[in-house]
Amino acid sequence: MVDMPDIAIKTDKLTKIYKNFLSRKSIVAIKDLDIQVQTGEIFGLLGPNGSGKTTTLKAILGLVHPTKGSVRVFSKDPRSMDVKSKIGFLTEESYLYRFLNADETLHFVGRLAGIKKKKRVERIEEVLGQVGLLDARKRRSKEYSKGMARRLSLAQVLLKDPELIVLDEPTLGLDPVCSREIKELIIGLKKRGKTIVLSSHLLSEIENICDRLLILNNGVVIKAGNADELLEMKTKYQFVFDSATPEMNKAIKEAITNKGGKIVFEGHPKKNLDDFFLETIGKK
Amino acid sequence: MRKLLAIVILTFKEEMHSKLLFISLFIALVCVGSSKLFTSITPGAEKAFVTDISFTLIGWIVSICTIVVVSDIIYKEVTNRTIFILRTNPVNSLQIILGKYLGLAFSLGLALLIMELIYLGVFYYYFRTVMNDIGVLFLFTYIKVLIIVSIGVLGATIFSRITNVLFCVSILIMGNLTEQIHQIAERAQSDFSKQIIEWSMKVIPDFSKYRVLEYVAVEVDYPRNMIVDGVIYGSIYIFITLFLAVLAYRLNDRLMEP
Repeated sequence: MVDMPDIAIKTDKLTKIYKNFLSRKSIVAIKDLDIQVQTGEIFGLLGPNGSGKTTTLKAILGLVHPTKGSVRVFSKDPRSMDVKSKIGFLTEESYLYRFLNADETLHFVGRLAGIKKKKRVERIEEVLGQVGLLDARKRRSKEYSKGMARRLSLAQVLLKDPELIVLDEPTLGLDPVCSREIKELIIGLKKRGKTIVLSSHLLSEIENICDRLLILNNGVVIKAGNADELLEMKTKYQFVFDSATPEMNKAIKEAITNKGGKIVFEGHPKKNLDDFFLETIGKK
Repeated sequence: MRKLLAIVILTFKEEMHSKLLFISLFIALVCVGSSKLFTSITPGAEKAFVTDISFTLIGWIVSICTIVVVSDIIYKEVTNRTIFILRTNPVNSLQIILGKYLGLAFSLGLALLIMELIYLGVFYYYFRTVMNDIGVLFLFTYIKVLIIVSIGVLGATIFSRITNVLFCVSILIMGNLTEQIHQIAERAQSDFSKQIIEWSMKVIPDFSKYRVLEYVAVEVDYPRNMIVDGVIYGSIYIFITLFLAVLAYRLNDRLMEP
Protein backbone atom coordinates (compact mmCIF):
# COMPACT_ATOMS: atom_id res chain seq x y z
CA MET A 1 0.00 0.00 0.00
CA VAL A 2 1.15 3.56 -0.76
CA ASP A 3 2.29 5.58 2.24
CA MET A 4 -0.45 8.14 2.90
CA PRO A 5 -0.64 11.16 5.20
CA ASP A 6 -2.89 10.72 8.25
CA ILE A 7 -5.42 13.23 7.01
CA ALA A 8 -7.07 12.19 3.77
CA ILE A 9 -9.36 15.19 3.34
CA LYS A 10 -9.28 18.63 4.90
CA THR A 11 -11.63 21.44 4.07
CA ASP A 12 -11.25 24.92 5.47
CA LYS A 13 -14.29 27.24 5.49
CA LEU A 14 -15.41 25.58 2.28
CA THR A 15 -18.20 27.57 0.65
CA LYS A 16 -19.87 27.03 -2.69
CA ILE A 17 -22.37 29.50 -4.06
CA TYR A 18 -23.93 28.68 -7.40
CA LYS A 19 -24.42 31.86 -9.36
CA ASN A 20 -26.88 32.50 -12.10
CA PHE A 21 -26.82 34.87 -15.07
CA LEU A 22 -24.60 37.95 -14.61
CA SER A 23 -22.97 36.27 -11.58
CA ARG A 24 -25.82 37.11 -9.21
CA LYS A 25 -25.85 34.92 -6.14
CA SER A 26 -28.53 32.30 -6.37
CA ILE A 27 -27.97 29.21 -4.21
CA VAL A 28 -25.66 28.78 -1.25
CA ALA A 29 -24.96 25.06 -1.55
CA ILE A 30 -22.46 24.79 1.31
CA LYS A 31 -21.22 27.38 3.79
CA ASP A 32 -18.04 27.49 5.90
CA LEU A 33 -17.66 23.74 5.94
CA ASP A 34 -14.77 22.38 7.98
CA ILE A 35 -14.19 18.66 7.53
CA GLN A 36 -11.27 16.50 8.44
CA VAL A 37 -11.30 12.88 7.32
CA GLN A 38 -8.63 10.54 8.65
CA THR A 39 -7.12 7.91 6.40
CA GLY A 40 -8.69 4.50 6.81
CA GLU A 41 -12.03 5.66 8.22
CA ILE A 42 -15.56 5.58 6.87
CA PHE A 43 -16.96 9.08 6.97
CA GLY A 44 -20.68 9.62 6.42
CA LEU A 45 -22.32 12.75 5.11
CA LEU A 46 -25.97 12.84 6.04
CA GLY A 47 -28.70 15.25 5.20
CA PRO A 48 -31.95 15.71 3.36
CA ASN A 49 -32.09 16.27 -0.40
CA GLY A 50 -30.56 19.64 -1.29
CA SER A 51 -28.56 19.87 1.93
CA GLY A 52 -25.23 20.17 0.10
CA LYS A 53 -23.95 16.58 0.31
CA THR A 54 -23.30 16.12 -3.40
CA THR A 55 -21.70 19.56 -3.72
CA THR A 56 -19.37 18.68 -0.84
CA LEU A 57 -18.42 15.43 -2.57
CA LYS A 58 -17.88 17.26 -5.88
CA ALA A 59 -15.62 19.78 -4.14
CA ILE A 60 -13.61 16.90 -2.65
CA LEU A 61 -13.31 15.41 -6.15
CA GLY A 62 -12.26 18.74 -7.65
CA LEU A 63 -15.37 18.86 -9.82
CA VAL A 64 -16.48 22.25 -8.49
CA HIS A 65 -14.45 25.34 -7.69
CA PRO A 66 -15.00 26.52 -4.12
CA THR A 67 -16.39 30.06 -4.02
CA LYS A 68 -14.50 30.56 -0.75
CA GLY A 69 -12.26 28.39 1.39
CA SER A 70 -10.21 25.42 0.32
CA VAL A 71 -10.13 21.63 -0.06
CA ARG A 72 -7.02 19.50 0.23
CA VAL A 73 -6.99 15.80 -0.52
CA PHE A 74 -3.92 13.93 0.64
CA SER A 75 -2.48 17.44 1.24
CA LYS A 76 -2.85 18.35 -2.43
CA ASP A 77 -5.25 20.18 -4.74
CA PRO A 78 -8.01 17.69 -5.63
CA ARG A 79 -7.70 18.73 -9.30
CA SER A 80 -4.14 17.45 -9.53
CA MET A 81 -3.62 14.33 -11.63
CA ASP A 82 -1.84 12.67 -8.72
CA VAL A 83 -4.92 13.02 -6.50
CA LYS A 84 -7.29 11.94 -9.27
CA SER A 85 -5.33 8.72 -9.67
CA LYS A 86 -5.93 7.98 -5.96
CA ILE A 87 -9.67 8.67 -5.91
CA GLY A 88 -12.59 6.53 -7.02
CA PHE A 89 -16.08 8.04 -7.31
CA LEU A 90 -19.40 6.25 -7.38
CA THR A 91 -22.08 8.62 -8.64
CA GLU A 92 -25.60 8.81 -7.24
CA GLU A 93 -26.91 6.95 -10.28
CA SER A 94 -25.05 4.68 -12.66
CA TYR A 95 -23.87 6.64 -15.68
CA LEU A 96 -22.40 4.23 -18.20
CA TYR A 97 -21.52 4.18 -21.88
CA ARG A 98 -24.53 2.21 -23.06
CA PHE A 99 -22.83 0.82 -26.18
CA LEU A 100 -19.98 -0.79 -24.20
CA ASN A 101 -20.10 -4.09 -22.35
CA ALA A 102 -18.65 -4.54 -18.86
CA ASP A 103 -15.27 -5.67 -20.18
CA GLU A 104 -14.97 -2.75 -22.57
CA THR A 105 -16.13 -0.27 -19.92
CA LEU A 106 -13.52 -1.47 -17.47
CA HIS A 107 -10.76 -1.51 -20.10
CA PHE A 108 -11.68 2.08 -20.96
CA VAL A 109 -11.60 3.20 -17.32
CA GLY A 110 -8.40 1.22 -16.75
CA ARG A 111 -6.71 2.97 -19.68
CA LEU A 112 -7.84 6.35 -18.36
CA ALA A 113 -6.38 5.45 -14.99
CA GLY A 114 -3.12 4.54 -16.72
CA ILE A 115 -3.15 0.84 -15.78
CA LYS A 116 -0.95 -1.27 -18.04
CA LYS A 117 -2.59 -4.02 -20.08
CA LYS A 118 -1.36 -7.08 -18.17
CA LYS A 119 -2.31 -5.65 -14.79
CA ARG A 120 -5.56 -4.28 -16.26
CA VAL A 121 -6.67 -7.71 -17.44
CA GLU A 122 -5.93 -9.21 -14.00
CA ARG A 123 -7.71 -6.38 -12.15
CA ILE A 124 -10.77 -6.59 -14.41
CA GLU A 125 -11.06 -10.30 -13.70
CA GLU A 126 -10.74 -9.60 -9.99
CA VAL A 127 -13.25 -6.73 -9.72
CA LEU A 128 -15.82 -8.42 -11.96
CA GLY A 129 -15.63 -11.36 -9.54
CA GLN A 130 -15.94 -9.03 -6.57
CA VAL A 131 -19.12 -7.39 -7.89
CA GLY A 132 -20.54 -10.63 -9.31
CA LEU A 133 -20.61 -9.69 -12.99
CA LEU A 134 -18.31 -12.34 -14.45
CA ASP A 135 -21.16 -14.05 -16.27
CA ALA A 136 -22.56 -10.79 -17.68
CA ARG A 137 -19.25 -9.25 -18.76
CA LYS A 138 -20.01 -9.46 -22.48
CA ARG A 139 -23.48 -7.94 -22.26
CA ARG A 140 -23.84 -4.29 -23.19
CA SER A 141 -24.54 -2.07 -20.20
CA LYS A 142 -27.80 -0.85 -21.73
CA GLU A 143 -29.14 -4.37 -21.16
CA TYR A 144 -28.25 -4.28 -17.45
CA SER A 145 -30.76 -4.02 -14.62
CA LYS A 146 -30.36 -1.14 -12.17
CA GLY A 147 -28.57 -3.38 -9.69
CA MET A 148 -26.16 -4.71 -12.33
CA ALA A 149 -25.43 -1.20 -13.58
CA ARG A 150 -24.68 -0.20 -9.99
CA ARG A 151 -22.30 -3.15 -9.64
CA LEU A 152 -20.53 -2.17 -12.85
CA SER A 153 -20.17 1.41 -11.61
CA LEU A 154 -18.70 0.04 -8.42
CA ALA A 155 -16.34 -2.16 -10.42
CA GLN A 156 -15.10 0.99 -12.21
CA VAL A 157 -14.35 2.55 -8.84
CA LEU A 158 -12.53 -0.52 -7.52
CA LEU A 159 -10.54 -1.12 -10.70
CA LYS A 160 -7.84 1.43 -10.02
CA ASP A 161 -7.63 0.35 -6.37
CA PRO A 162 -8.02 3.91 -5.09
CA GLU A 163 -6.88 5.08 -1.67
CA LEU A 164 -9.94 7.29 -1.26
CA ILE A 165 -13.38 6.10 -2.32
CA VAL A 166 -16.22 8.61 -2.58
CA LEU A 167 -19.69 7.11 -2.71
CA ASP A 168 -22.73 9.27 -3.39
CA GLU A 169 -25.85 7.49 -2.12
CA PRO A 170 -24.27 4.05 -2.67
CA THR A 171 -27.38 2.03 -1.89
CA LEU A 172 -29.95 4.30 -3.54
CA GLY A 173 -32.66 2.35 -5.33
CA LEU A 174 -31.15 -1.06 -4.60
CA ASP A 175 -32.99 -4.02 -3.13
CA PRO A 176 -31.99 -5.15 0.40
CA VAL A 177 -29.79 -7.98 -0.92
CA CYS A 178 -27.79 -5.69 -3.21
CA SER A 179 -27.70 -3.01 -0.56
CA ARG A 180 -26.34 -5.47 2.02
CA GLU A 181 -23.66 -6.69 -0.41
CA ILE A 182 -22.51 -3.14 -1.08
CA LYS A 183 -22.33 -2.38 2.63
CA GLU A 184 -20.27 -5.53 3.18
CA LEU A 185 -17.99 -4.47 0.34
CA ILE A 186 -17.54 -1.04 1.94
CA ILE A 187 -16.61 -2.63 5.26
CA GLY A 188 -14.19 -4.94 3.40
CA LEU A 189 -12.56 -1.92 1.77
CA LYS A 190 -12.10 -0.24 5.14
CA LYS A 191 -10.41 -3.41 6.40
CA ARG A 192 -7.97 -3.05 3.50
CA GLY A 193 -7.06 0.43 4.75
CA LYS A 194 -9.10 2.46 2.28
CA THR A 195 -10.62 5.80 3.24
CA ILE A 196 -14.30 6.01 2.40
CA VAL A 197 -16.55 9.05 2.25
CA LEU A 198 -20.17 8.36 1.59
CA SER A 199 -23.35 10.35 1.53
CA SER A 200 -26.92 9.35 2.13
CA HIS A 201 -30.25 10.85 2.98
CA LEU A 202 -31.37 7.53 4.48
CA LEU A 203 -29.79 7.57 7.92
CA SER A 204 -30.53 3.92 8.65
CA GLU A 205 -28.66 2.91 5.49
CA ILE A 206 -25.29 3.99 6.80
CA GLU A 207 -25.53 4.14 10.58
CA ASN A 208 -23.93 0.74 11.04
CA ILE A 209 -20.96 1.27 8.76
CA CYS A 210 -19.73 4.83 9.44
CA ASP A 211 -16.99 5.62 11.95
CA ARG A 212 -17.88 9.29 11.96
CA LEU A 213 -20.89 11.25 10.76
CA LEU A 214 -21.56 14.78 9.69
CA ILE A 215 -25.12 16.00 9.37
CA LEU A 216 -25.75 18.79 6.89
CA ASN A 217 -28.82 20.91 6.39
CA ASN A 218 -29.13 23.87 4.03
CA GLY A 219 -25.39 23.73 3.44
CA VAL A 220 -24.31 24.07 7.06
CA VAL A 221 -23.16 21.50 9.61
CA ILE A 222 -25.84 20.64 12.14
CA LYS A 223 -24.03 17.89 14.00
CA ALA A 224 -20.72 16.05 13.66
CA GLY A 225 -18.93 13.35 15.55
CA ASN A 226 -18.35 9.69 16.21
CA ALA A 227 -21.28 7.62 14.94
CA ASP A 228 -21.70 5.55 18.14
CA GLU A 229 -21.53 8.61 20.36
CA LEU A 230 -24.01 10.57 18.27
CA LEU A 231 -26.55 7.79 18.24
CA GLU A 232 -26.10 6.63 21.82
CA MET A 233 -28.85 7.74 24.29
CA LYS A 234 -26.70 8.18 27.36
CA THR A 235 -29.53 8.53 29.90
CA LYS A 236 -31.29 5.38 28.75
CA TYR A 237 -30.26 1.73 29.07
CA GLN A 238 -31.58 -1.50 27.64
CA PHE A 239 -31.18 -5.21 28.33
CA VAL A 240 -31.85 -7.79 25.69
CA PHE A 241 -31.74 -11.33 27.03
CA ASP A 242 -32.69 -14.79 25.90
CA SER A 243 -35.20 -17.12 27.63
CA ALA A 244 -37.22 -14.26 29.10
CA THR A 245 -40.05 -15.42 31.36
CA PRO A 246 -42.90 -13.25 32.72
CA GLU A 247 -41.48 -13.72 36.23
CA MET A 248 -38.02 -12.46 35.22
CA ASN A 249 -39.54 -9.48 33.42
CA LYS A 250 -41.65 -8.62 36.43
CA ALA A 251 -38.64 -8.83 38.78
CA ILE A 252 -36.54 -6.53 36.58
CA LYS A 253 -39.41 -4.07 36.23
CA GLU A 254 -39.90 -3.92 39.99
CA ALA A 255 -36.19 -3.48 40.61
CA ILE A 256 -36.06 -0.51 38.21
CA THR A 257 -39.18 1.23 39.56
CA ASN A 258 -38.08 0.62 43.17
CA LYS A 259 -34.85 2.48 42.42
CA GLY A 260 -36.77 5.44 40.90
CA GLY A 261 -36.27 4.52 37.25
CA LYS A 262 -39.01 5.04 34.66
CA ILE A 263 -39.61 2.36 32.04
CA VAL A 264 -40.34 3.96 28.68
CA PHE A 265 -40.67 0.76 26.68
CA GLU A 266 -41.12 -2.86 27.46
CA GLY A 267 -41.75 -5.72 25.10
CA HIS A 268 -40.04 -8.09 22.71
CA PRO A 269 -37.36 -6.51 20.48
CA LYS A 270 -38.21 -6.44 16.80
CA LYS A 271 -36.04 -7.29 13.79
CA ASN A 272 -35.74 -4.57 11.24
CA LEU A 273 -37.58 -5.20 7.99
CA ASP A 274 -34.35 -5.53 5.96
CA ASP A 275 -33.07 -8.31 8.23
CA PHE A 276 -36.46 -10.05 8.17
CA PHE A 277 -36.53 -9.87 4.34
CA LEU A 278 -32.99 -11.23 4.03
CA GLU A 279 -33.77 -14.09 6.43
CA THR A 280 -36.98 -14.90 4.57
CA ILE A 281 -35.27 -15.19 1.20
CA GLY A 282 -32.37 -17.08 2.78
CA LYS A 283 -29.66 -14.47 2.13
CA LYS A 284 -28.71 -14.02 5.75
CA MET B 1 -0.74 8.22 -24.88
CA ARG B 2 -2.74 5.32 -23.43
CA LYS B 3 -5.36 7.74 -22.09
CA LEU B 4 -5.62 9.59 -25.38
CA LEU B 5 -5.98 6.30 -27.23
CA ALA B 6 -8.74 5.22 -24.82
CA ILE B 7 -10.80 8.30 -25.69
CA VAL B 8 -10.09 7.90 -29.41
CA ILE B 9 -11.28 4.27 -29.34
CA LEU B 10 -14.34 5.17 -27.25
CA THR B 11 -15.37 7.94 -29.65
CA PHE B 12 -14.76 5.70 -32.66
CA LYS B 13 -16.84 2.88 -31.16
CA GLU B 14 -19.62 5.30 -30.25
CA GLU B 15 -19.83 6.59 -33.82
CA MET B 16 -19.74 3.05 -35.21
CA HIS B 17 -22.85 2.33 -33.11
CA SER B 18 -24.61 5.38 -34.51
CA LYS B 19 -27.09 4.78 -37.31
CA LEU B 20 -26.29 8.13 -38.87
CA LEU B 21 -23.07 6.99 -40.56
CA PHE B 22 -24.82 4.01 -42.10
CA ILE B 23 -27.71 6.14 -43.29
CA SER B 24 -25.28 8.61 -44.89
CA LEU B 25 -23.44 5.73 -46.57
CA PHE B 26 -26.74 4.48 -47.97
CA ILE B 27 -27.63 7.97 -49.25
CA ALA B 28 -24.18 8.26 -50.83
CA LEU B 29 -24.62 4.86 -52.49
CA VAL B 30 -27.99 5.89 -53.96
CA CYS B 31 -26.77 9.33 -55.09
CA VAL B 32 -23.48 8.15 -56.61
CA GLY B 33 -25.07 5.04 -58.09
CA SER B 34 -27.78 7.02 -59.85
CA SER B 35 -25.49 9.82 -61.10
CA LYS B 36 -24.97 8.00 -64.43
CA LEU B 37 -28.71 8.29 -65.13
CA PHE B 38 -28.36 12.06 -65.52
CA THR B 39 -25.34 12.11 -67.85
CA SER B 40 -27.63 12.80 -70.82
CA ILE B 41 -27.61 16.45 -69.64
CA THR B 42 -23.93 16.69 -70.57
CA PRO B 43 -23.33 14.53 -73.67
CA GLY B 44 -19.65 13.86 -74.28
CA ALA B 45 -18.68 14.74 -70.71
CA GLU B 46 -20.17 11.78 -68.87
CA LYS B 47 -17.03 11.03 -66.83
CA ALA B 48 -16.68 14.65 -65.74
CA PHE B 49 -20.39 14.78 -64.85
CA VAL B 50 -20.31 11.58 -62.74
CA THR B 51 -17.14 12.68 -60.91
CA ASP B 52 -18.38 16.22 -60.39
CA ILE B 53 -21.82 15.25 -59.15
CA SER B 54 -20.50 12.35 -57.02
CA PHE B 55 -17.85 14.37 -55.21
CA THR B 56 -20.12 17.37 -54.72
CA LEU B 57 -22.75 15.10 -53.19
CA ILE B 58 -20.20 13.15 -51.11
CA GLY B 59 -18.76 16.46 -49.89
CA TRP B 60 -22.16 17.75 -48.74
CA ILE B 61 -23.38 14.44 -47.29
CA VAL B 62 -20.22 13.96 -45.27
CA SER B 63 -20.19 17.63 -44.19
CA ILE B 64 -23.78 17.49 -42.92
CA CYS B 65 -23.13 14.12 -41.29
CA THR B 66 -20.02 15.58 -39.63
CA ILE B 67 -21.94 18.56 -38.25
CA VAL B 68 -24.69 16.38 -36.81
CA VAL B 69 -22.20 13.95 -35.26
CA VAL B 70 -19.85 16.58 -33.84
CA SER B 71 -22.53 19.01 -32.64
CA ASP B 72 -22.96 17.48 -29.17
CA ILE B 73 -19.75 15.50 -28.88
CA ILE B 74 -18.94 17.15 -25.53
CA TYR B 75 -22.40 18.05 -24.20
CA LYS B 76 -23.56 14.48 -24.75
CA GLU B 77 -21.10 13.49 -22.02
CA VAL B 78 -22.62 16.13 -19.73
CA THR B 79 -26.25 15.24 -20.42
CA ASN B 80 -25.54 11.50 -20.05
CA ARG B 81 -23.39 12.32 -17.01
CA THR B 82 -20.61 10.10 -18.36
CA ILE B 83 -18.43 13.21 -18.03
CA PHE B 84 -17.93 12.06 -14.42
CA ILE B 85 -15.97 9.07 -15.70
CA LEU B 86 -13.63 11.37 -17.60
CA ARG B 87 -13.35 14.08 -14.97
CA THR B 88 -12.73 11.81 -11.99
CA ASN B 89 -9.87 10.04 -13.68
CA PRO B 90 -6.39 11.46 -14.26
CA VAL B 91 -7.18 12.82 -17.72
CA ASN B 92 -6.55 16.42 -18.80
CA SER B 93 -8.57 18.70 -21.08
CA LEU B 94 -6.14 18.30 -23.98
CA GLN B 95 -6.48 14.51 -23.90
CA ILE B 96 -10.28 14.78 -23.85
CA ILE B 97 -10.51 17.28 -26.73
CA LEU B 98 -7.82 15.63 -28.85
CA GLY B 99 -9.22 12.16 -28.15
CA LYS B 100 -12.70 13.21 -29.22
CA TYR B 101 -11.29 14.94 -32.30
CA LEU B 102 -9.20 11.98 -33.44
CA GLY B 103 -12.00 9.51 -32.75
CA LEU B 104 -14.32 11.52 -34.97
CA ALA B 105 -11.58 12.02 -37.55
CA PHE B 106 -11.11 8.24 -37.83
CA SER B 107 -14.79 7.36 -37.93
CA LEU B 108 -15.69 10.07 -40.44
CA GLY B 109 -12.55 9.24 -42.42
CA LEU B 110 -13.71 5.63 -42.61
CA ALA B 111 -17.18 6.73 -43.76
CA LEU B 112 -15.61 9.02 -46.37
CA LEU B 113 -13.31 6.25 -47.56
CA ILE B 114 -16.28 3.91 -48.05
CA MET B 115 -18.18 6.64 -49.95
CA GLU B 116 -15.20 7.19 -52.19
CA LEU B 117 -14.83 3.46 -52.78
CA ILE B 118 -18.49 3.45 -53.78
CA TYR B 119 -17.70 6.23 -56.26
CA LEU B 120 -14.67 4.32 -57.60
CA GLY B 121 -16.75 1.17 -57.96
CA VAL B 122 -19.58 2.97 -59.75
CA PHE B 123 -17.17 4.89 -62.00
CA TYR B 124 -15.20 1.77 -62.91
CA TYR B 125 -18.40 -0.19 -63.52
CA TYR B 126 -19.65 2.38 -66.04
CA PHE B 127 -16.39 3.53 -67.70
CA ARG B 128 -13.85 0.71 -67.05
CA THR B 129 -11.26 3.31 -65.99
CA VAL B 130 -10.49 5.71 -63.13
CA MET B 131 -9.90 9.47 -63.22
CA ASN B 132 -6.38 10.89 -62.87
CA ASP B 133 -5.49 12.69 -59.63
CA ILE B 134 -8.41 11.17 -57.78
CA GLY B 135 -6.16 10.85 -54.70
CA VAL B 136 -5.92 14.64 -54.37
CA LEU B 137 -9.69 14.86 -54.46
CA PHE B 138 -9.87 12.28 -51.64
CA LEU B 139 -7.24 14.14 -49.63
CA PHE B 140 -8.85 17.56 -49.98
CA THR B 141 -12.33 16.28 -49.14
CA TYR B 142 -10.87 14.71 -46.00
CA ILE B 143 -8.99 17.86 -44.98
CA LYS B 144 -12.24 19.82 -45.31
CA VAL B 145 -13.95 17.23 -43.08
CA LEU B 146 -11.13 17.55 -40.53
CA ILE B 147 -11.52 21.34 -40.52
CA ILE B 148 -15.29 21.04 -39.98
CA VAL B 149 -14.71 18.53 -37.16
CA SER B 150 -12.31 20.95 -35.43
CA ILE B 151 -14.84 23.79 -35.74
CA GLY B 152 -17.57 21.48 -34.43
CA VAL B 153 -15.43 20.39 -31.48
CA LEU B 154 -14.74 24.05 -30.65
CA GLY B 155 -18.46 24.82 -30.90
CA ALA B 156 -19.26 21.77 -28.75
CA THR B 157 -17.18 23.19 -25.89
CA ILE B 158 -19.19 26.42 -25.95
CA PHE B 159 -22.67 25.86 -27.33
CA SER B 160 -25.54 23.47 -26.86
CA ARG B 161 -26.32 21.04 -29.69
CA ILE B 162 -28.75 23.18 -31.74
CA THR B 163 -26.63 26.33 -31.43
CA ASN B 164 -23.57 24.38 -32.46
CA VAL B 165 -25.33 22.97 -35.53
CA LEU B 166 -26.27 26.53 -36.57
CA PHE B 167 -22.70 27.72 -35.84
CA CYS B 168 -21.13 24.93 -37.94
CA VAL B 169 -23.60 25.30 -40.83
CA SER B 170 -22.97 29.08 -40.97
CA ILE B 171 -19.21 28.55 -41.00
CA LEU B 172 -19.53 25.80 -43.63
CA ILE B 173 -21.61 28.01 -45.92
CA MET B 174 -19.38 31.07 -45.45
CA GLY B 175 -16.27 28.93 -45.90
CA ASN B 176 -17.57 27.85 -49.30
CA LEU B 177 -18.38 31.44 -50.29
CA THR B 178 -15.08 33.12 -49.42
CA GLU B 179 -14.50 34.47 -52.93
CA GLN B 180 -17.95 36.09 -52.99
CA ILE B 181 -17.44 37.52 -49.51
CA HIS B 182 -14.12 39.04 -50.66
CA GLN B 183 -15.98 40.71 -53.51
CA ILE B 184 -18.55 42.09 -51.06
CA ALA B 185 -15.70 43.47 -48.93
CA GLU B 186 -14.19 45.21 -51.95
CA ARG B 187 -17.52 46.83 -52.77
CA ALA B 188 -18.28 47.81 -49.16
CA GLN B 189 -18.90 51.53 -48.73
CA SER B 190 -17.55 52.10 -45.24
CA ASP B 191 -14.08 51.20 -44.04
CA PHE B 192 -15.60 49.77 -40.88
CA SER B 193 -17.70 47.23 -42.80
CA LYS B 194 -14.69 46.37 -44.92
CA GLN B 195 -12.58 45.82 -41.80
CA ILE B 196 -15.26 43.64 -40.21
CA ILE B 197 -15.60 41.47 -43.31
CA GLU B 198 -11.85 41.16 -43.76
CA TRP B 199 -11.35 40.30 -40.10
CA SER B 200 -14.08 37.66 -40.24
CA MET B 201 -12.46 36.20 -43.36
CA LYS B 202 -9.38 35.47 -41.26
CA VAL B 203 -11.50 33.45 -38.85
CA ILE B 204 -13.66 31.59 -41.36
CA PRO B 205 -11.95 28.65 -43.09
CA ASP B 206 -11.15 29.31 -46.73
CA PHE B 207 -12.53 26.24 -48.51
CA SER B 208 -11.69 27.76 -51.90
CA LYS B 209 -8.17 26.44 -51.29
CA TYR B 210 -9.59 22.95 -51.72
CA ARG B 211 -11.46 23.56 -54.97
CA VAL B 212 -9.59 20.91 -56.94
CA LEU B 213 -12.70 19.14 -58.23
CA GLU B 214 -13.11 21.61 -61.10
CA TYR B 215 -9.67 20.56 -62.40
CA VAL B 216 -9.80 16.82 -61.69
CA ALA B 217 -13.32 16.31 -63.10
CA VAL B 218 -12.33 17.69 -66.50
CA GLU B 219 -8.84 16.14 -66.33
CA VAL B 220 -6.99 19.46 -66.39
CA ASP B 221 -3.73 19.95 -64.44
CA TYR B 222 -4.29 21.77 -61.16
CA PRO B 223 -1.71 24.20 -59.72
CA ARG B 224 0.92 21.96 -58.07
CA ASN B 225 1.35 24.20 -55.02
CA MET B 226 -2.31 23.61 -54.16
CA ILE B 227 -1.52 20.39 -52.27
CA VAL B 228 1.21 21.89 -50.09
CA ASP B 229 -0.81 25.07 -49.49
CA GLY B 230 -3.95 23.11 -48.68
CA VAL B 231 -2.21 20.74 -46.26
CA ILE B 232 -0.32 23.54 -44.47
CA TYR B 233 -3.38 25.80 -44.28
CA GLY B 234 -5.56 22.93 -42.99
CA SER B 235 -3.01 21.85 -40.38
CA ILE B 236 -2.58 25.38 -39.01
CA TYR B 237 -6.32 26.03 -38.97
CA ILE B 238 -7.04 22.75 -37.16
CA PHE B 239 -4.22 23.31 -34.66
CA ILE B 240 -5.46 26.81 -33.74
CA THR B 241 -9.11 25.70 -33.55
CA LEU B 242 -8.30 22.75 -31.29
CA PHE B 243 -6.11 24.94 -29.10
CA LEU B 244 -9.08 27.31 -28.66
CA ALA B 245 -11.34 24.31 -27.98
CA VAL B 246 -9.07 23.18 -25.13
CA LEU B 247 -9.10 26.71 -23.67
CA ALA B 248 -12.88 26.98 -24.03
CA TYR B 249 -13.32 23.57 -22.42
CA ARG B 250 -11.26 24.64 -19.41
CA LEU B 251 -13.13 27.93 -19.06
CA ASN B 252 -16.62 26.52 -19.48
CA ASP B 253 -17.96 26.00 -15.98
CA ARG B 254 -20.78 23.77 -17.15
CA LEU B 255 -18.23 21.29 -18.48
CA MET B 256 -15.75 21.70 -15.65
CA GLU B 257 -18.49 21.63 -13.00
CA PRO B 258 -20.94 19.03 -14.31
